[in-house]
Amino acid sequence: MTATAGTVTETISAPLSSATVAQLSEAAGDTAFLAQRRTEAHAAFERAPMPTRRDEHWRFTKLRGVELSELPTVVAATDIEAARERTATSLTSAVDLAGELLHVNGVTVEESITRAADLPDGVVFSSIAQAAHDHPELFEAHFGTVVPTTDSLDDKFVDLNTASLAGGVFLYVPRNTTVELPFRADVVLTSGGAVNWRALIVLEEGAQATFVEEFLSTDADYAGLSNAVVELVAGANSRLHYVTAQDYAVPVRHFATHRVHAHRDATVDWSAVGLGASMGKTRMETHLVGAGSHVKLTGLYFVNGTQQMDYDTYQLHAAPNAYSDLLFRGVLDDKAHSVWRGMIAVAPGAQGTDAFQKNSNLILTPGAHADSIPGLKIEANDVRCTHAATITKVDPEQLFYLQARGITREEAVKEIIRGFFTDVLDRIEVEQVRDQVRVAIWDRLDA
Amino acid sequence: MADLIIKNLHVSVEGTEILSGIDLTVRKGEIHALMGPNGSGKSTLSYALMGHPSYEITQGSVEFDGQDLLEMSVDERARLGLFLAFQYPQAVPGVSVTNFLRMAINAHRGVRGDGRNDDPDAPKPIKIPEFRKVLEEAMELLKVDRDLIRRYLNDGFSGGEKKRVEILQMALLNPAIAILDETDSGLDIDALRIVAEGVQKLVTERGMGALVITHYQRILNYIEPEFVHILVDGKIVASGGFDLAKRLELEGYAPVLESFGIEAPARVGAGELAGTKA
Ligand SMILES: Nc1ncnc2c1ncn2[C@@H]1O[C@H](COP(=O)(O)OP(=O)(O)OP(=O)(O)O)[C@@H](O)[C@H]1O
Ligand SMILES: [Mg+2]
Repeated sequence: MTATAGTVTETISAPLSSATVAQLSEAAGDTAFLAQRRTEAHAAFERAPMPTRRDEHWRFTKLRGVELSELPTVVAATDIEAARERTATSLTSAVDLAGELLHVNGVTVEESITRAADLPDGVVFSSIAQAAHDHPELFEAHFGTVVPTTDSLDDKFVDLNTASLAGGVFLYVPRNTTVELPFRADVVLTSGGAVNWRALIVLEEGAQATFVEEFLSTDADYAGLSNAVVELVAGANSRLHYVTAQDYAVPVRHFATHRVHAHRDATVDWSAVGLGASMGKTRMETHLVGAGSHVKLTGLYFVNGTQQMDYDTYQLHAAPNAYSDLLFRGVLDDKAHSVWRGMIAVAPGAQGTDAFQKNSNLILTPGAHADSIPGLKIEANDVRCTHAATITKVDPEQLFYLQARGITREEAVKEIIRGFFTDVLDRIEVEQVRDQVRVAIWDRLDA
Repeated sequence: MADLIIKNLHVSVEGTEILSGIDLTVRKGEIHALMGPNGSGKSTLSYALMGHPSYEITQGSVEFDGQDLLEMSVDERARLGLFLAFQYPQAVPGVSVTNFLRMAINAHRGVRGDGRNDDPDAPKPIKIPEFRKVLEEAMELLKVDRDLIRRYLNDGFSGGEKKRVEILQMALLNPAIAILDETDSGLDIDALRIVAEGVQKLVTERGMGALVITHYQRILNYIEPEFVHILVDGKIVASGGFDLAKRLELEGYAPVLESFGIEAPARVGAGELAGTKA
């Protein structure tokens, strides 16, 4: 049977229960595989305790007020036009694309999916639901392998994501196939909705592709919830560029788990931009599962007001001679708070590991605050690991120097911020995105 | 006239008085040299004039271009035509020299922000071709290396490179009065001549006034100051012509000061002062 997955149009209200999960499964047109995964995830979700601030990785995450049981599980994609309009001014708009997809709240808009006419044979760019129907072998071989269902409290949000799945993207690039232009997904939260987003990106051996995703919302005052799970498979010798940008309206609360499996000699260039949302938790994990794999992760955040940005990064060296390099830089204004917790873990046998992590924060006001917690767990002996964390204020001597050349204090501060971001921006390899992100940040400075 | 008139200036740093009543007038087109032992307060004077927040003015007045300089913010002073070539120029990583120079020129033109403005009468940013042209000219005049201006401002620059870029900025910003705080130290012999000639050119062609702080006669041989002042322990204790600088170089501070009837402070002995020996 090759049923076609249409766009889900029902709203199924929480609390999440066996009944709503079944209802959802039917509305989403689940294959047997997805239906089973959904049920398992729901059971795990029920078993997993809700994290609290006593739990190591959630110490800084103010979960009070985040009521998962009140989440509308799926909201029909009724605000498609508003969502589309919002994407026109996104950080990464106006880039020539290999394919594009619009996801509104929990639902992927099937009609929005475009594919370049000259996509190489075998490339799949579709919604998750469609992929589950049309390419069951490919889909089932990878779905849930990078971010599996567990009943650990750390995966509570992952399980919720899988149990509530009604959309997302599947990108598959076959062996030795290169797609030059980026694929892009816009994930948009509209008033009254909640985002549930899932991405499964698979590059087979020797494949090359770029995937860009951006989280946006249409209503500046709407405090919705967002929950994302991104699974990335970089096959042997593949080259993946991945950009994830979060530019939600400030009241939004955003939770995400992004994880890559980098196989033998794969190269991953991953860039993360964080500008929006009031709080949440973003896990960004690099599992170097293949020898000689190479991952560069670049993070950039800029927050103000009472925003709280909470990153948890993990570089797992599970294979020898792999390289990982993480640099996160953030600017904090007003009473903003950032948390960056980084861990490099080197498994026994991962000899010849080269791993770096660095987090730098520029604090613009006495009220802003950064927590920066690097960690190392090394179980091999032939390794090179370095970590660094810095929290600095705008240097008054730099300010004085620029002002002594006639530049106003306000402009001088902006120039110092621009200077602070220059290094991280330069690391973003996807050129079109880099320039747009730069412009977007400069514009934000002038706003 | 954009003259700099300093009267009875007292300056403290962290509660300690460093300058104790400076009287000095630098007019446009004049070159003054300010000499004095290490720690006598020369840089303190330059920082205080430029408005560094750590330097507290406890007494006195400074008039610049007919206005009260001390009431102005740092950037206002600069835009009004006061320039300080720093003894130790600050590095600003991530900000390229070229970008910074364009910003500084635009700031001097009165451009606000990035210059995007709906008001047709608002000052316009310098056009890129014009900017390139003036930059090329100044770089040519001062023999500044092209690679240098692509780098981040003073970041990892050698001592001499920093000084050249200071003077490059001076040439581009066209100040009414420039204070050069030991611009000569760190420059090699050729660079010293090039920079000194550059300063001289701005003085003769554009009527810039200059206050040249130095320990050495060498730079003064190129720019021949009409006035030489000696600062000791926060006070100008002697003023004279170019001869005074020559005598200092030959004799050291103590005998020269004595000839003015001034007893050198106890810690100041002939030849004891770094950088003042002949
Ligand atoms: N920010 C500061 N904090 C503490 N003391 C200071 C500060 N700035 C200057 N001083 C002190 O003030 C005195 C004058 O210093 P200043 O730098 O003005 O001397 P100078 O004449 O420029 O010396 P040099 O010839 O070595 O450059 C010194 O004793 C110095 O230690
Ligand atoms: Mg000095």
